[in-house]
Amino acid sequence: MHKSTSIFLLFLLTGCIENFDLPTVLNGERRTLVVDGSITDQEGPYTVKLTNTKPLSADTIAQVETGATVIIEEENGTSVTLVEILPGVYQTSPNEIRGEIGKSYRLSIRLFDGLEYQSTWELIRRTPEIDEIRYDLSSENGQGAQLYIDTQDKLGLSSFFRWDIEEVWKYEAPLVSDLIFESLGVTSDKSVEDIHRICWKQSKVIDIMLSSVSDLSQSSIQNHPLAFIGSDSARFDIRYSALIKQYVIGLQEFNFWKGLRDTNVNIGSIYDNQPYHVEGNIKNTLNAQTEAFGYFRANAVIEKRIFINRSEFPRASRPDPAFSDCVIFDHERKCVPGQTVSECSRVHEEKLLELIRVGARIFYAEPYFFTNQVCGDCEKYGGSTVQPTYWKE
Amino acid sequence: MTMKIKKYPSATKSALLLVLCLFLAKSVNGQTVQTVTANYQNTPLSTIIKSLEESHSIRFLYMPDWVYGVRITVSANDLPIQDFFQKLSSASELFFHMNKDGNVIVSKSRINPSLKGNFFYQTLSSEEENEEVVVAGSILDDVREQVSVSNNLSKRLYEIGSPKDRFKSKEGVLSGSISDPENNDPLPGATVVIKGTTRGVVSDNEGVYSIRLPKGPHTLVYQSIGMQDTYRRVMIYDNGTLDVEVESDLRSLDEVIVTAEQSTVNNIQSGLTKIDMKSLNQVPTLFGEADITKVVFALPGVQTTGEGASGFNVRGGRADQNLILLDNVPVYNTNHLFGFFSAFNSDLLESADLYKGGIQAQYGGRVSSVFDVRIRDGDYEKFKAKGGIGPITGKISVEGPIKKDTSSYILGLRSTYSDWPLRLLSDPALQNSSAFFADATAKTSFKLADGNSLSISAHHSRDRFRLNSDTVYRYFNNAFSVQWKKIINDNLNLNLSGTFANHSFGLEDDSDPALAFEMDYEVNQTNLNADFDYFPKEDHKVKFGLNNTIYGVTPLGRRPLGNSSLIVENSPIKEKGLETAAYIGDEYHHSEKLTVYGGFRVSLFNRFGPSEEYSFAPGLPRQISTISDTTTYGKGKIVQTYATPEIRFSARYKLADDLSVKVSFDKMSQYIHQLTNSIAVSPTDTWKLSNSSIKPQKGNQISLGLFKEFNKSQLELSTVGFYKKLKNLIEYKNGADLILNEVLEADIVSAEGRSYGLEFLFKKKAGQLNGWISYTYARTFVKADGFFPDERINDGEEFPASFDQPHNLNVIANYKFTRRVNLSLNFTYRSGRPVTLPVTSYEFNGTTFVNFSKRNQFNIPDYVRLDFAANFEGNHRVHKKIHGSWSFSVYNLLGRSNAYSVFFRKSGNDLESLKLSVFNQAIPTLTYNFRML
Repeated sequence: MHKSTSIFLLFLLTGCIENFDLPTVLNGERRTLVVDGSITDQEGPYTVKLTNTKPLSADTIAQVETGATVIIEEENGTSVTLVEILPGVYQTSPNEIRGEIGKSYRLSIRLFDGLEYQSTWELIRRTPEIDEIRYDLSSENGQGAQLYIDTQDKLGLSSFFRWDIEEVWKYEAPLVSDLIFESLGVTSDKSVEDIHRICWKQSKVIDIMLSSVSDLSQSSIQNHPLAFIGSDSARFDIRYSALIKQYVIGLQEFNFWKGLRDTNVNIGSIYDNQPYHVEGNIKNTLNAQTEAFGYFRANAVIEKRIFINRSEFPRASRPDPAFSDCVIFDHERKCVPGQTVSECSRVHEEKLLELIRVGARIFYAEPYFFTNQVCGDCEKYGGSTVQPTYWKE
Repeated sequence: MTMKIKKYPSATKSALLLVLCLFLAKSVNGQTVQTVTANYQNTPLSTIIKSLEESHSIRFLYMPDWVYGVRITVSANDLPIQDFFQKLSSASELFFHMNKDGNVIVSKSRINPSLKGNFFYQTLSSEEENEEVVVAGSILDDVREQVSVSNNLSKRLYEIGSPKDRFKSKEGVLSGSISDPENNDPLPGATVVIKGTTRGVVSDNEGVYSIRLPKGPHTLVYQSIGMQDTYRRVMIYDNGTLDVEVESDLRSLDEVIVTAEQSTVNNIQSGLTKIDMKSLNQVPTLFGEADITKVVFALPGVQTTGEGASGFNVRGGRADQNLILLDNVPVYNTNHLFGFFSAFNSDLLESADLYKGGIQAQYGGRVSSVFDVRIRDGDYEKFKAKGGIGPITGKISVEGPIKKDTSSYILGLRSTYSDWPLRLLSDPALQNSSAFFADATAKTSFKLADGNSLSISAHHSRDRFRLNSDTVYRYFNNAFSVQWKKIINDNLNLNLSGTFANHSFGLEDDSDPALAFEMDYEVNQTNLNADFDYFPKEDHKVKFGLNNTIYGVTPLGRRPLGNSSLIVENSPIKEKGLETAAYIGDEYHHSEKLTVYGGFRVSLFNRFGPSEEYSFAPGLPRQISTISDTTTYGKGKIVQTYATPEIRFSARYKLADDLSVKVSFDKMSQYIHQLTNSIAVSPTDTWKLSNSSIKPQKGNQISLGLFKEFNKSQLELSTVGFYKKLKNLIEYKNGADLILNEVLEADIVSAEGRSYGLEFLFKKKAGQLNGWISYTYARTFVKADGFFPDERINDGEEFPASFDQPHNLNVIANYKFTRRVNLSLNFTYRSGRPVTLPVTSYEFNGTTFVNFSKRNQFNIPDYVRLDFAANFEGNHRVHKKIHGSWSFSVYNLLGRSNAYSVFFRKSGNDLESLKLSVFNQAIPTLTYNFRML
């Protein structure tokens, strides 16, 4: 309903949302523990991250909670203590515990300073299969792919669904050279591993994807729009893949995600609800008023992977090549009158080497052609040349 | 046209003189003969006149229009002044005649200076009928005494009867009608007084007067409230008639002005503001629609959260706490298209009175204010039509007698005729959208025998907004009222009225056949009122009566749409309630200095079944999981009863003739509540009746004010301080969803409100420049401090309400350039309203989220807006059938992007701060209006 009213406003106006610098410095309240962890019906290890909130105005990285004791407990069953593998990151040992559908799990935390927190019991609900993932590549919403999902629970037990999407895509650096620039006039061959031509980059869709069927006569979700994948970051340069993870969740968890969405995503209309503090499922054991942010999830996971090739896009909406602005720099010597030739060459070489050293330029071709880093080395664009095991051509 | 008569030579030094000039006076033969020495090169005639007035102690009588723009080149060296006037005449095509008192009459025609006694008058032919100049020595003397002469008809001598009958008797009876030329409405209650005496008569209901006068010359003064004093010179020979048009006191047509029937100083009600309907068309508009609420927003003590917010806040009250009446019918939705347009067609309104405090006992049912809007009666004499067309809307109204002088009708229609702005947008979803609204208002009135009257009025408004051809919103508003006024005897009047109000909206969405649904909501209110006016003694005015209100609410329900829809039907139980109130109030005029009002109202509310009332486990917070018992009440069974006594008191004490102090106390209660969890009232907000969990809202207010008038009531200055407490306000738990919530009780938190403030108003009622400046300093706070943590907001501490905007300055100014052109400005400044902003962020599930501060701890930037309108009237020849006028308005002239809200949004993994403004540019509009008489 809010959608249409804000769209109505758009009809009256053009561009009514603008960037705006807040005049006041927003000072953070006291630090609060943030818990991000889960157990699933899939094989572990399971990870729990403990961090803290940080003031909005600060550029610092959130402080992590090290030295805590973190325990995952199965109702009427075993409990395991997680090991801190990185500062603030706690993990179960392999094969120590595995979530089972129909059982409940709880997270207990004792911080280094002695404060204790505990989550509510979280039941792992059966998650039905994903029937189909479809995508629409027409340019109606801009360049990219709109994903849709069909799923249903024939037993009618599932009311609330949530999805995560993990994505990976293959791309190519267009101006890769198999030579290394040593100095002016001197090059050497690159080893095969150093030629970073094809890479795979991984990411996660940050949208909060939720759906409730509690007011439907069947537990059936048809043609539900999941997320729109934009064509930025070379996603559709060669081939793209999305792994859709489906979870059936309980009402409490649904309200938590909905709260995050209401207060962080669905904002900016004049009929916005009052923002509020979103309640998670973890509280201080001594003082129920002291909450931790975040949610300890226990879910059964159903996955489905799709692939999209660049060639599938209709011609009209084919995304622009990601590396269209790759420039080749021709570093000719420009000698100043009065300079000796050798002095000129030396100064020029120093400049070139400095540019290469700081990474501003990368050698492209003989004799003296250079290009931007990301155009000549796909790893510089954030990917890895290692093909993921699940990748299919 | 107004004749400008300069009484005194201007003492100001004219800096406009462009050439050196020198005036000399010289004595010849013992008699002063004035001479002129001057050299003017292309100098405005007005400048020359001014100089002559200063140097020669003479005064010019002229119509400014004649002089305006006339430039003259003339020189003189020691020239007798009469000869100089000759020169001026030949240069200007005007005639200058100086009489023995030193008055120079400027005319377009030659004046015959010969005078034949007092009765003589001479009309000089001129091109326009009403540009007559009448010259007679003694008449001119009178004219000079008349400061506010509206036009030169006042100088004309009217002969009543035939001179040959002048010896038949010693007296003659003069009769005629008094009317307002603007709309030809008769002016009842106007006085006709013989100048220089206290003898006079008052016009009757049809504006007809009759006065007996001795033979001979008289000057009559016609006076009516809000109108200019109008003079007529008559020569009575015998019985005769004289119809008089008395012009509005406001020098321009339809100026914006708030007027009080009684002078503000005399009126007992400190919180009452009357809005003059004539004013509305002059206020700058948005998209050409005159909007009564825009004028209300400019009054002290009234606040709005911004464009697109329906409703307004009066003295810290919420939007649902205003009782908005249209001919006694409560109106639940006063807007079109999400609050951008008023649902009232301003062409049909008689009056609009806003009561902010000192609310008398006959009003009840809302706790903050009463906005009493009346539809006017149609013309009882002749057919009239009126209309206008703006960029997206058109309107027309017709009125006239059914039976002349006894019954009339009026009908107004208004509609959008285009949604072309949508077609201009690039978004295909919006191009496939449409927006429409329309309203119709009608009234028929009957004057019955013995002063009794009957009127029936009806109002219908509808909105339709279709988004992308698959989602449709519909809004409807209906109002119907029958009012019968019976004069039982000299001391007792009875007003019987029956009203019916209905507000509903619907929503259809078939974008996905499996999820296609329609939603409906409706609220009905039926009122049966018997109100008595009783005048036991001259100095008592008693009102008493009985009001019955039947409420029916159909909560928002949802049904599947189409066969393939999987939506489960949700049809909540209808809510029914009856509010019965009895009241009595007496306004006692103790003395010239003191007037006191005391009123008492008792309201009884019964909530009827069918209903399901939830009990929650004691000692546990109210949640769906803690429902311990559900009591089902059958149809017609009383579910809950509330009774509230309400005391109303006000008093006015005059410290001086033009200075009074007023005090008031009001206690009010309210049994129906609008559920709003957003910053502004949203179009899908619904109303809910009190039940066992939702207690009636209550409000107490005290106010103290000082009222002062200057300059014969032309200027008015007032200041009012108030303190208000509200109880049982509805707030919501975190994340509460109000739509299709079957156990709303579990999500509601009871809160208290408190507000105080000081209002200032400076008003200039008439003159070339008129309007008002209002400034309010007010604070409004809310406190929700329930027993359980989820019933507390901000840890139970008091926090500013969402519309708490401490400083509020409004200026409405009209400036009349000529009779046909006036300019209007509307300036608004208010403090930025409070918002809740994020203060900390955290990482979760691979992305960044924000966490919010306590509620309303920050403020958005201040709001500043300037609107402008220029109104051009066509000419006003009486014989013309259609009078046209143009209005050019610019809303938000400064093009400011006033922030509606500020918020943070994720951009990738970063947070960016954004502001939402409803308008970020100036919005110009051209509107054409016409009247057909």
